[in-house]
Amino acid sequence: MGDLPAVIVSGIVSGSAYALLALGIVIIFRSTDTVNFAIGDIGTLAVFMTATMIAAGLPIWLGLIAAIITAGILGIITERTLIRPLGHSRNYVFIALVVTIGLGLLIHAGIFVGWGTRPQAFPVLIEGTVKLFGIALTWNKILAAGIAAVAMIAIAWFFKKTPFGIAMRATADDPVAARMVGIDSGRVAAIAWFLGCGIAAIASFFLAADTSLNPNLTLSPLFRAFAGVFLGGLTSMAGAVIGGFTIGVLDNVAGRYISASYRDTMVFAIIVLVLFIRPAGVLGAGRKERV
Amino acid sequence: MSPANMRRLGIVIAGLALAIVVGPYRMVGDYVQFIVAALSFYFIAVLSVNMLAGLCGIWSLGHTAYMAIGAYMAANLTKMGVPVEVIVLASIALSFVVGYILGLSAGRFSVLYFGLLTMALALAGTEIIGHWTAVTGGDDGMKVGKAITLFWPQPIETKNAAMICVILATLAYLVGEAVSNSQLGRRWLAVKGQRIASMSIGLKPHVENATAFGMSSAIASLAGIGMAFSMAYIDPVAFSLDSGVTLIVGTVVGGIGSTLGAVVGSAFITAVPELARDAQAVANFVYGGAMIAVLLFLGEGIVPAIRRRIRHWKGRDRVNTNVPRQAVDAQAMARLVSELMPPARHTLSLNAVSVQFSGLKALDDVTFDIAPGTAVGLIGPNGAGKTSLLNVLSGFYKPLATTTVKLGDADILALPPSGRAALGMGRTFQHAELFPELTIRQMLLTVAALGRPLRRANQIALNEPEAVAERIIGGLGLAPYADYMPSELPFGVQKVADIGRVLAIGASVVSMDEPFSGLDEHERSELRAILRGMRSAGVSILIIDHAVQEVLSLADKVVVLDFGKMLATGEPDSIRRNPEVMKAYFGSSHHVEPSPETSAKESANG
Repeated sequence: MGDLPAVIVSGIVSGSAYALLALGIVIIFRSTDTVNFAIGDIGTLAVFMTATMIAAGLPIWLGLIAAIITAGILGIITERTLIRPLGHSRNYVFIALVVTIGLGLLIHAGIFVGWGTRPQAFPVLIEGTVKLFGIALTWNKILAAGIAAVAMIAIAWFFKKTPFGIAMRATADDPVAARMVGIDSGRVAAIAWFLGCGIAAIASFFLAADTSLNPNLTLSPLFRAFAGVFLGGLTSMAGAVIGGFTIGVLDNVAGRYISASYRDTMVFAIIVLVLFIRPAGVLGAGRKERV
Repeated sequence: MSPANMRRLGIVIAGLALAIVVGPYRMVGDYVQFIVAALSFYFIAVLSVNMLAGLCGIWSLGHTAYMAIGAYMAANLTKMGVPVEVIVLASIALSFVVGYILGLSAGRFSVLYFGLLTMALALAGTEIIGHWTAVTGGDDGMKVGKAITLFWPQPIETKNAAMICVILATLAYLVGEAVSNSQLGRRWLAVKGQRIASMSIGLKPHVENATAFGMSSAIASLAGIGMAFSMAYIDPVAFSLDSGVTLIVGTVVGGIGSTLGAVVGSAFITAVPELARDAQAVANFVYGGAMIAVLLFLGEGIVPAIRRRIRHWKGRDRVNTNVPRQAVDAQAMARLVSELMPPARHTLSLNAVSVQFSGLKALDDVTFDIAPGTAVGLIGPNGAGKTSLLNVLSGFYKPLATTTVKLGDADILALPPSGRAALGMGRTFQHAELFPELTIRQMLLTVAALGRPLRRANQIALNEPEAVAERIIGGLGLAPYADYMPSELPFGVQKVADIGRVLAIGASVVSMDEPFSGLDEHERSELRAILRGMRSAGVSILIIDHAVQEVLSLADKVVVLDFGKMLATGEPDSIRRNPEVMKAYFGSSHHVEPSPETSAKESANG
């Protein structure tokens, strides 16, 4: 067990991607009641598009910003063209979820047509590795964790301090009352989808830099992000972030000490266990169901 | 023979005929056999996903895991010489148990969690298949032997296994139809549409969700068995998350919650890859595009959209609201109530009821009794805590630990909402909260069936659900509306139907949240007659309403709340004259008008 600190640290580092995706899921769910299964695919598509720009000579750090903005705009387009037209019909919540599954299929097909099936090489922001508690971590991963932390702090600041962020929280709590005091629900939805998909792109970007760029880049992280959302509850932003990191650590610990070849299965077991033991969200994120 | 039974017989005959055609007599070519087999097992799989989505609102991405259970059981047990009939039973049992347990876990929360949970299930399933090589052959897949059956001397050739697929599909069709049209299916629809209100009629949503998930999982495993025998070789790709998504595509395109829709949907997901061979991207474009187009433009899929069109042509989609109304017969109403509701036997005592919402005390130390057969009116300005109190009684809010609520000796707070319904506590809702996907008749039938044990315990003669539902429909004048969905009906009718719901459950202690609001004069007089009928039947009533004169004229005792505290309690007359109550209610000490008849006189000297 001597390498436990190292296992935990590397769990936190990979957990930052899960936390970002989980945060994106929760931001979008709070604003438009949509569980967005395509969030990872939107982020991945944006990174494919910026990879082309980077290959054409765009500096890589500008590429990151371009990926965030592209994903954000894709998010806004998705909300406008696919989610909003559903209206608020009876089974809206379920239908919206299924629409995003369909969108995921379309994006997959699109990436296939545009870039083929072969994984693409993707540049890293900084080269090199560092030794921490006896394990080697790439600077790329550490930078990813750092940028993830900055993004989360920025999101927290946006929702806590800016008038528009506060308006968005108000809309999440009571959409009708928010509309009555003059909050533009369309803008709230657009900003939420922009932010949610934008931070998903950060996760996709660093995942690609870490391995290679392929259409299934976010599949396994997204699944862990959902596990984090289970832990924190669908409506709590802080819960999602803490949940994402927790899953990162648990996944790593289980992978190291129990079995490396059944990692998905163990995350799945954690999800089921959490659902059974938690009375209303382990992190106290109420049982609020916005249906 | 009823039309439903005729249809079932038709399905059985068609299924058997098709089974013979694709069976061992070589009546059709290999390709046809293959297509029929694929159609059949995809139909089973799509049906299982479709049923769950339609009846419960649960979207599963992980049903391929249950197909895997069926398929690998078939492959392994056949090697040991186990006949296909036993394999079917064994995989049904195993899949049901696994599904039930998973259903119980997510069912305690929102049905949305199922989407996430089943995605995890699909990924975990793929991983287990990949690594548990002794049982699954790993990523290389594994061969499946010929099916051995108890009804045929020789094992069934792989191509003839289409016959097995068709028989299993026929079985699945019958089960699917039976569930949708049964009490079970109606209960699931009730939970899907109104989780909260479904608890007030004694349902446990997580158990209903778990049962549905378990049954649907069991059906999905049949698809795996069919697939294994007709392909002779099982490949982990068939059980991946992508395949799970394909089943969702089939569900959406064909039509959510429709057995026939599952036929159309499975045809779609069988045909597209056949037509778009060597071009997986094309198939995905078609899948994704079709799914989104259907959801955006057709709503719930091809089959339901066509049904709606036909209904529209037949002119059945408009309710005739110009129904002539008969004068309210107070005696008939009283008879109706006394035939369905037993007298209350126990006092409902509320002691120190306090509720806190992060800092705000919505209720503070509220204490009063409702003696058996009496009516207590709860009044107070908006925000006084009236509805909160009702929600404590129904079990939707958790009060502070110092609170006790007892019905006789039974500690109400220790019981879940469904347990309270079983003790005879019923409630109505301010906004009716009917089940959106059940017609009034179906709702009453469902609730009447749930109320059976309660009526039996109270020796109520009228007990058959059909009879109870008919009695209520007739007694409340709901006949013209009985076969419509709540959303098609005027609000007043919905509120009357909500009262029908407490009649159907056979409650003896009834709480009513603003029953008079939103009713027209005729419905109000109907409600008055029902309330008087409840009183003479000995039912205990707790009534909240802003129609203060109605409450004062009905109640034996009135409790006045203001800002969560008890302001006054006493007989209606003393409340009427209480200056503090006047002040809280109107801001000054005007008199409350005692009854509509004398209101002109009273207000003159106000």
